[in-house]
Amino acid sequence: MQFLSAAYLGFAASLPLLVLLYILKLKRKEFLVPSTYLWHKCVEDLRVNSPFQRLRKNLLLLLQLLILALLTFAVARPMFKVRDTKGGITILLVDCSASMGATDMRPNRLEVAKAASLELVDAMKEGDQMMVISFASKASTVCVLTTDRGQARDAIKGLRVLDTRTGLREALLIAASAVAAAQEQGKKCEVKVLSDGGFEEVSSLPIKKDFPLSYFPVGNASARNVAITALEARKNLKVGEAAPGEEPDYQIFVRAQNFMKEEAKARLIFSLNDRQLEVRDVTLPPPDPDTHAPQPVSQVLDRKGLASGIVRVDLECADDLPTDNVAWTVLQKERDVKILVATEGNFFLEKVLNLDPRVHVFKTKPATFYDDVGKGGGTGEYDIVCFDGVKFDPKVQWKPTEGSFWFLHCVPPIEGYAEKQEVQHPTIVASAPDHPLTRYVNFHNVDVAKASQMEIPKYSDTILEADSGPLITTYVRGKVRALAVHFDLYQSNWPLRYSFPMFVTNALQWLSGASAQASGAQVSAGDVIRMVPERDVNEIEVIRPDGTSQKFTVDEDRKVLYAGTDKLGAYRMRRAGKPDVVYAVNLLDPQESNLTPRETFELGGGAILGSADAVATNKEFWWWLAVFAFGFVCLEWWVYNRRAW
Amino acid sequence: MPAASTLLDPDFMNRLEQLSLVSRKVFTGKIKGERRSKKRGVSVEFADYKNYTHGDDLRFLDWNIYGRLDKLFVKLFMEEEDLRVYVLLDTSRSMMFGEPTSKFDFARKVAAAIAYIGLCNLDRVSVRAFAGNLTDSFRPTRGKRQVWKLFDFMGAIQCDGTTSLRDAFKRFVLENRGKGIVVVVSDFLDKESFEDGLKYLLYNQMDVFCLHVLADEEVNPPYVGDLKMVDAEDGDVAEVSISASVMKAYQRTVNSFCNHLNTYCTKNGFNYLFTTSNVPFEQLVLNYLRKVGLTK
Repeated sequence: MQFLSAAYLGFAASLPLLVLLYILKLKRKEFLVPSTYLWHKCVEDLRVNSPFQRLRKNLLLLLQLLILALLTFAVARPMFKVRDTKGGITILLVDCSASMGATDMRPNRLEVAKAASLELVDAMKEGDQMMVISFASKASTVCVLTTDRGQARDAIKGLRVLDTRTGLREALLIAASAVAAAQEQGKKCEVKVLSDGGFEEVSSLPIKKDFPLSYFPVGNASARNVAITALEARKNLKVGEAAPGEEPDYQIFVRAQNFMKEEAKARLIFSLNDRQLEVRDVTLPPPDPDTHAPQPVSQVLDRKGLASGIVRVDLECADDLPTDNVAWTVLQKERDVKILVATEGNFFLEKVLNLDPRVHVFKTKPATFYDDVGKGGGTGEYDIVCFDGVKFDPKVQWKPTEGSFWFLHCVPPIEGYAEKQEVQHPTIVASAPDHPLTRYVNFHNVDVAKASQMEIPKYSDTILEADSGPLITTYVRGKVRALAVHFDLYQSNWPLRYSFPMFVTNALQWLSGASAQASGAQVSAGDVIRMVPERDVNEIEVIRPDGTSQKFTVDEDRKVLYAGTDKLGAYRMRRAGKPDVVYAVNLLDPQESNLTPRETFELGGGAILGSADAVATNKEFWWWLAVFAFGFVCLEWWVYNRRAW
Repeated sequence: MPAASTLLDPDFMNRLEQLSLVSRKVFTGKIKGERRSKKRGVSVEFADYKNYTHGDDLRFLDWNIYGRLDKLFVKLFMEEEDLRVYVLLDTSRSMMFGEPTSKFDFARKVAAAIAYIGLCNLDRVSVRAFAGNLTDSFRPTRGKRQVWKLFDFMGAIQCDGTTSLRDAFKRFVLENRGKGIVVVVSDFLDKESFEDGLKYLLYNQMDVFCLHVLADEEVNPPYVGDLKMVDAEDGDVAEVSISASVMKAYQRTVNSFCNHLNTYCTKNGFNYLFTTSNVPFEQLVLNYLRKVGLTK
């Protein structure tokens, strides 16, 4: 119990004052009567007949002291903290990310948040409205604004932990729009975030300082957790040594981190296709005492014969969040790629293409490439045809109709592509971060001296964008898959950067339809898997780690975006007559694995402090005391009227 | 002091002359009067016969009987004597209260009326004022002509002193051995208990009539608040905080007191009549006193 106006407890000093007043004798009005005989008799009768005479002697004083004490308490405004809302509209943002499955609070953090939410629902009054938004990597409105408590209750009960990272931004934007709508209608509104705080910074969101948000941190700072925060499989390329058809070896890189205050001993178990490969005992040091940053421990598994399959790495340690103690990666068999390059000669391109022993490069002259691929618009016997600086003869009217094409510094003969003008020193402003072509590719140190300012077709995606327009685009339509780079490699420093060979490798994988290969098939939980089936595939089936499956029809874009990656594990793309493509969905997020609840975050230019009061309301009960005091006043009056002294 | 003439209205006095005091007992009087006595005497009303003996008055021999039976019988006649009427008037200070008519004024008028009825019927009327003891006295008097003296006496009485029925009645009984009607007009508010006083009247086998007079303010006190009540007689103090329940208790006490007095009177053969000082005086005398059998 707390007091909102504790200073008023000073009124308690009036209690001894009352006693003092009682000690002073009552001044009575003198009155001459014929005889006191009957009055004495009457008073004696009353005394004899009244029970608790000893008590009654001071009953009035006791009652008055009680009334005074009650009133003193009442003006001090005592209150209890109870789960309650302030009425009006309440928007609950409930974190359902992986860290909410931590068992540092029983049964887990999400259940605690759900229990608090349900109490808030129970505290809803007539006319109050509630909206429930769950958020993990994405936000989802599980209950729209409703006055129906049952609906809100069912929505909250239906929340479950997703194995994904936390993203509050989207949920806040939804809540902000609901708040704005409510405030326009003049309704009282409040937003309550129930989370362990493993979300990104949201200070940049366009939210006003007076946004009615409160934050209820869930979790204990003493939560125990170790996690795998990185896992990667890399091909062990042996240039010049690997014979064609020979399987490359893979190296498995693992990084583990300890988020506890003390050192942790754990066991790292490597498995390939459910077959245990190796077990290692590792000691995970506590976070750096100065920076408090967890210290990573890296392990590399370098064994021959790691050719294809699903690698699973387990970190065995008793902690509060087992979800992040496991990770998967995929080693997939690659097939040889035959590429025809129509070029007058491009040193950088040829050098990079020859790096990968699985890539077989064939060269031709730009003027005679029809002889090799035919005039039908296909790729002939090649998997990919690359046009380097080719100017297509409009008289020939060659147009790609089927196959994968790479247009390097030339205007693709595809409807919609047109060169407007040449621009000098375009400044790169954006790249598609989640596209397979840009994986491990960093354009920050790339400068382009000259580029073509292009008009691009409707069905194209921009991979790299400069201030003058797109620099790299893709086009996927029907049976055509095309990549277009709209500048000359010799007019840029790109070939001299690490990003160039990476991009070429990605481009070959993407164009050959094997983009989901090797470690390229790793996806963060909650992210979209971009599945690109082969040209002859019309239907795919996605099989989840729990065995459930879902079928998708491949449309003209030849892309299937699968968003149901809320469980960790291996997802398989199954196509008829072809081996499965496996995608590994992992958490691998140090921020999510750090179970220490965030105490505060910035929003709308101010700090939002986490507090258990966020889902509580001050329940004042001074009026109950006032009612009791009034009752005792009545009782005192009654006693006074019945008193006989 | 009220003038003698204001005590009783002449018209009312004319009406009182029609009344007479009635005693339920037959007493022996002192002198010849108009009341039938226990004694045999010389009135015109035949009572009995007795055998003639020497010395009997020959005038009362019944010659007719002698003629028929040849025996001498003497005729006996009823004796008629006077009736003693004592009016005991409470003059303690508690009698001063009552609005608009004080208990004392009311009691004095009733006493005057009763005395007047007695005088008109040749009764020996005596009025005694009492408080702590017998104070003023109107000597036994007969005859209507004494009425002005009576009124003068009544008009001169002042209220003073503390009620002590025991002392007053004890002295009254010692001073007045003769039997007769005793009319006590009082509020009977005696802290030593009225029983101690009334028992003396019981001893002399008098025909006692208790007229209990209380003021309206005693029956339904109009008081409110925290009061320090001071007794008008002895200065005794009672601190009372008036409340509804206290008022109820007081009224219960008053009723109980009156009932107790009534029961005591009934048990001992006394007549009892309760009245308040605001009851119309004429109505009390003409109606209520007749109803309880004091007058006819």
